[in-house]
Amino acid sequence: MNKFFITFLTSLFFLSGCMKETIDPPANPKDPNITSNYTIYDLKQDFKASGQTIWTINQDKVIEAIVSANDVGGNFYEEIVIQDKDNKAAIGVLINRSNLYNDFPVGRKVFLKVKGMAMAIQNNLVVLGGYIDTTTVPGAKSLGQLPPTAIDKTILKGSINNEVRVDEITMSQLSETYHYKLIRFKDVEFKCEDTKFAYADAVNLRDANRTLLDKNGNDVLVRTSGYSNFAAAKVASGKGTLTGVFTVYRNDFQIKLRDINDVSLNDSNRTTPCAGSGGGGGTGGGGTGGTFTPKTIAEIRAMFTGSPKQINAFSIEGIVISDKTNANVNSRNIVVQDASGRGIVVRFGANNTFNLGDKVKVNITNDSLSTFNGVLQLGGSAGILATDASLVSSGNTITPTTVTIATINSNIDLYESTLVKIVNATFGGGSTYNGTSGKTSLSDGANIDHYTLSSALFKGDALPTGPKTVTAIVSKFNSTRQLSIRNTSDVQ
Amino acid sequence: MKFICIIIALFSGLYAQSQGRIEGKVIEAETKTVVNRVQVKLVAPTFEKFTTTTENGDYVFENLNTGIFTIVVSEPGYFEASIDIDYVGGEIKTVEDIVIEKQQQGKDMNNEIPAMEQSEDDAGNSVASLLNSSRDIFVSNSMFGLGQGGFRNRGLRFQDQTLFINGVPLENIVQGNSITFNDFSGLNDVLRSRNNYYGIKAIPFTFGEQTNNIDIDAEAINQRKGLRVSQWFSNRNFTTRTTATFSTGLLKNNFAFSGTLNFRGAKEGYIPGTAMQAISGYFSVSKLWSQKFNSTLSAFYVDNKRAVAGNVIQEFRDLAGTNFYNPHWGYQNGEKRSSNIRRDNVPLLTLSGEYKLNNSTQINGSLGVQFGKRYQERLDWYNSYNPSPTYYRNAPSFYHEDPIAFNAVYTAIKTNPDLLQVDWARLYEANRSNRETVPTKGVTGNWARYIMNKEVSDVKNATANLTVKHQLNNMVNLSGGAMFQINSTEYYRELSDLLGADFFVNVNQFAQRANPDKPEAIHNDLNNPYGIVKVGDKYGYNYKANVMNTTVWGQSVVTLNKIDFYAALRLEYTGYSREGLFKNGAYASNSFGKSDGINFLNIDGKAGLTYKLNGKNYFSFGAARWSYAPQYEQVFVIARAANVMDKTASSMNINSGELSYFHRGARTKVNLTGFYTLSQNETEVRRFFTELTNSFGTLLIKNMDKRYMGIEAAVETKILNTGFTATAIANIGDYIYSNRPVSEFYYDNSDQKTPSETVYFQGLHLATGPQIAGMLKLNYNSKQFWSASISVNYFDKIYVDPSPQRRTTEAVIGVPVGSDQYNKILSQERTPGAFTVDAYFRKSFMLNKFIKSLKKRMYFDVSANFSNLLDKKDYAINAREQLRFDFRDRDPDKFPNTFSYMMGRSFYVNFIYRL
Repeated sequence: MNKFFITFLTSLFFLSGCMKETIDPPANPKDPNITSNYTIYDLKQDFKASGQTIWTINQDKVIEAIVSANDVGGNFYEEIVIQDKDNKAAIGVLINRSNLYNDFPVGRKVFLKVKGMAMAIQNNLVVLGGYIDTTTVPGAKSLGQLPPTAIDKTILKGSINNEVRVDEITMSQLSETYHYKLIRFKDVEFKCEDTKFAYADAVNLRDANRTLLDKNGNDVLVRTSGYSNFAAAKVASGKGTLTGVFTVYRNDFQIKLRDINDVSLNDSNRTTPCAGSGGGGGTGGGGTGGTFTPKTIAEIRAMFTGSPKQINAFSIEGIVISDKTNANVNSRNIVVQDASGRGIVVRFGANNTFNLGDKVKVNITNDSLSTFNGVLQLGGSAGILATDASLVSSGNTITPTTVTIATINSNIDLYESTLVKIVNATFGGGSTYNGTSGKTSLSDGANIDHYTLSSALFKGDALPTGPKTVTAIVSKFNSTRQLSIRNTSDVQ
Repeated sequence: MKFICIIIALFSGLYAQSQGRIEGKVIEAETKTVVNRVQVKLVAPTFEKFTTTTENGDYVFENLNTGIFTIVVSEPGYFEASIDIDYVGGEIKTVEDIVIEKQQQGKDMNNEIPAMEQSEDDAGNSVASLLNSSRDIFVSNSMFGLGQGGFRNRGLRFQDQTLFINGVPLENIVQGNSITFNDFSGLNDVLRSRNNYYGIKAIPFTFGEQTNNIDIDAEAINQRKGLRVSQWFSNRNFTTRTTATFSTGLLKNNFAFSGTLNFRGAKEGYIPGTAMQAISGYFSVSKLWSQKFNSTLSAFYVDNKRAVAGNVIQEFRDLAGTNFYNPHWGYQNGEKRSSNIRRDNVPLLTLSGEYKLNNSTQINGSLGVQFGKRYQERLDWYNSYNPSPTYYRNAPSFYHEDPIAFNAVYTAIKTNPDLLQVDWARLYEANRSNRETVPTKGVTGNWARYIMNKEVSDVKNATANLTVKHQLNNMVNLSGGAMFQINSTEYYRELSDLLGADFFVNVNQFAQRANPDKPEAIHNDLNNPYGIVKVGDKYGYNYKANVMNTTVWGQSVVTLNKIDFYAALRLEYTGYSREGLFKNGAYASNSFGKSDGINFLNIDGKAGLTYKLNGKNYFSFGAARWSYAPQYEQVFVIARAANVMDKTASSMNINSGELSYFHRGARTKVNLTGFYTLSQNETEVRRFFTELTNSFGTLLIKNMDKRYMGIEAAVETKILNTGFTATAIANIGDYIYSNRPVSEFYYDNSDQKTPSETVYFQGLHLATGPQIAGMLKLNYNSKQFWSASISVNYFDKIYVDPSPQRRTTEAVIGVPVGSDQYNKILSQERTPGAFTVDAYFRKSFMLNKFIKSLKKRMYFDVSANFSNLLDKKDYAINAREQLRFDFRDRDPDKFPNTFSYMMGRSFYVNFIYRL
């Protein structure tokens, strides 16, 4: 070989070595190059002077403010609260975007270019928004949120971790001056009855008021959203310090917590001791084996909001409308329907023993409520424990609802997992129930898929011809609507 | 320019002409007799000389300085033959005989032009191997062998190269000046006469860009006479290719004709669901008017339609069980239908002429007209769930916080792989049950939720180009030219399939939520609010981009005995304007009608010097500065919506230098080049949808600097008397972002843009393919008319394309500095390197040996190529961070990187019949 060649190869070997990982660490955020010439206090004064209840801001001014509350705890929604640098006044800003805490963490300085924004008195509270909305309620004016695409040009982001001021006051001092300000009470405690509850109803996503007392017998409401991430936490039973944003709703004074860290009620030596519940009872206290609140299937279905969730301490009682003997149902599943007229698929961890017509009680202990191929299902992929389901009685019947296919197609969620009867329905799309991979069709003028599992005993049976009266369970495969008969006597 | 000429003229006068010469003979191969009166051409990098052989077959070139020359004999009826020589000024060099063969004995060892593989990523920027025509060992091997691994010469952009056919540049001057390979794909047979000038060099036909400068002569007069029919089979993007080419050569009436027809197709390419079909045709007629003047009219027609795949996150590839998973197809009535189709059908007409004023002056003129359509056809939807199987909410990992849901989704996909493909039936079903009445129009029917649409570019382009070459004396060569290009391209979206629905409506579903305060913003065209759209109708956006470009350039080359040097200058004047054909609701006041114009003047210059130590060793140095006007989309930043211009847009500048050493031994050739390039004030444009504001928009990354440096090395050595040649090449580069650019986001849906943000890119690597690449090749050339080669390629130092949104202050607010999460957000993934092995074989047969009765000579060639013999399927040739960033949890894994992979083992076999 040639000396050039050898030298070349060896030098390559050395040249291709060592490289290090690079990152270019971003600097901390800086304030934008803009000077403020206005305050929240001035803005509120000017609004008051206008004499209006809803108002578009014409002042070409810039407010320098600090974020004092946001949606990090889920208790504020599409809203941030900002305070003047000197905390002379504070205000809530309605913004059409969720997860605002990412852009506006507490302590971030912001510069508001207020010209073109709007403000209004809502239930006795002055709030700031994006524009005056005249289309949502035609003929009426309401305050529109700051539109998403206007956020960046209206609220300029500045430095982070600035000092957030808190007014330490007593309940008797609460007044309009403190609207939207971050306030702190000392030596306060929740009313005894309220300490038995959570801050809000996290299951039904309802807000709740809990009453906070001071040592002088004054009280104020602590209002918490059912969507907040501490809604399910038990109301603190001790005495201590509580911080929150002061707002009003009509004539009610309300404190809104930013997150659970705003509650520091750790002193068990209450001003007003509570009978019974003693020193704190302990949150958590083990869910299983406890009591189960009966719910209708309709109520259970309503708890599902689109993404899988765990639910606990409820029970349902319903009649099995699926037929495991003829096996056109997954052997781990039953479909139950109850007096609410609604049905649901219950999935077990193993093959189940329930027959068509059995009335079954299912205790829900931290089970998943989720969709599988588009169908709402209780039990998730892990399934309900066999010990959580019990047989109440046998030989019950559910009368199928007589409907047209068109009605099912347009109200699929209402009929899903219920028993229906279609008259004058004609099968098509195959010579046996098996059709194409189990798929055939059913028509009464409108069309719907009919689906037969490969495990079904009747899958090889000839597909009936001519108009029939068909009883079937309504289901879906993702967005495709489908019916499934339980056995061949469902076709008359 | 004039000043430079005078200086050079004076300078050249100081030197006496050298008295040496090059002489040789031309011999006919079979009869071994001399060939008289054939034209012999001496080709130097910057000039050409012509002479004719005497009665004894002799030729002489005199008055030459040191240099590397190629002597070419291309005589009608013979195969072109050439010899490379290294000449030292003053010497009298007798060259070995040039043996020319009548069109016979299969010495046509030209490699096939690598197929222009379809771009397989959405950005449309992965052109495979370029036309391989350089005599430079590094360039020819890097393009052919390393190109398949994503290697790009010097890590540069695709617009840093240029290509002319018959004097007409084939570039998209509206969109990034990239070479439009699809406009001449399949015409390989007639594009064989070409030159590539690589790097900072004196180039005779244009000022030149940074890497490849390719000049293709596709005039009938220069096509090899004869018939050529070939058939190829492959398992790549197209599985069959049939070509027939016929050229007359120069006829007695001084006309020459040439034509080719080519069909390429595949029911399915290497990747599932990628059907393709392309027809290419070419016809050219030349007329030799006199020995001084000839002219040619040529037409190029390519209609190339193909279904493409794209980048996908690894999770879906794992679910599908293959790195070649393609989410874009689904079954419709039992047939695979693609939801991502591209088509290019932009024919080109050229009229070119060559006029030899005298022995020292030659003028070339070209006119080019190009008109036709390109489109990408995809799904669009209205108020409906994203139909892409790889939409992030369909991934099991979207439910990573809920193991039960995760398992349910995972199991559902695993048990029903159809969920990984487009569910056409569902789209039709959704479309057939969506009866609605269109506001204000009163039309009732099934309002389409899902449609197929084409993003069309309707191109009209004209070019006039004039080049003059003049040899002032035997030391000074001057060249220069002027070019004018005008382009008006209409861009619009066209509905191509209603998928069972009755109509679609020309409104913007996102604008309503983005602008609750501006109800009219939902209209894509306020001139026809709630316009009903049917198949073939335009909707969404519709505008004309007008671009005008004028270039003037000049160059002078001085050739002395020990030193060559050159200098060149270019002036470029570019103008843009936009004409809106829709009145966009979010930009009611400035979207319809003509915009103001904006113009840029750019000046480029370069100079270089070669020191000729002796006939075998050369050192050269070149330096250049390019200045490029911002591209159209960097000025009209939201061209689809409005006439909005970024008035601060300014030109980018590239400063580059290279230092080379060449060795030309009898057995061994060495190239060694070091390069250093600074690119400043570059702008990048990325378009995407942001959920933060529910809006499509344009992210401009401005004022970006890049630094490229590296070494290109190549050695080729003949292993004595064995027929073997060994070649080794390597590229060791380091290409990085060298500053912190700023980004701005312009919304399509509302008259807003975000404030500038600093992007912390400094020190991150550019995602321009492998920065380290190498190849070892062993080639055997038999005297029995066959050859074979095997090569090993190596690719490494490959980085994922970084997302600008992730490298901002806002992206790491609240993330503890130095934490794993912090480092993960800011660091850049380096993907693994790879070794691959390729092999090539070719054999030629003369059919007359087997069939004695044949009157004419006929040949049959077989060639076969095997790529990636080791079947490496996990080498990512394209990897990108998603532009979407999880600003909620700041979890960099929420939207993981996307990849596409190099094809596994593939082959082609090509059969050629020649007459």
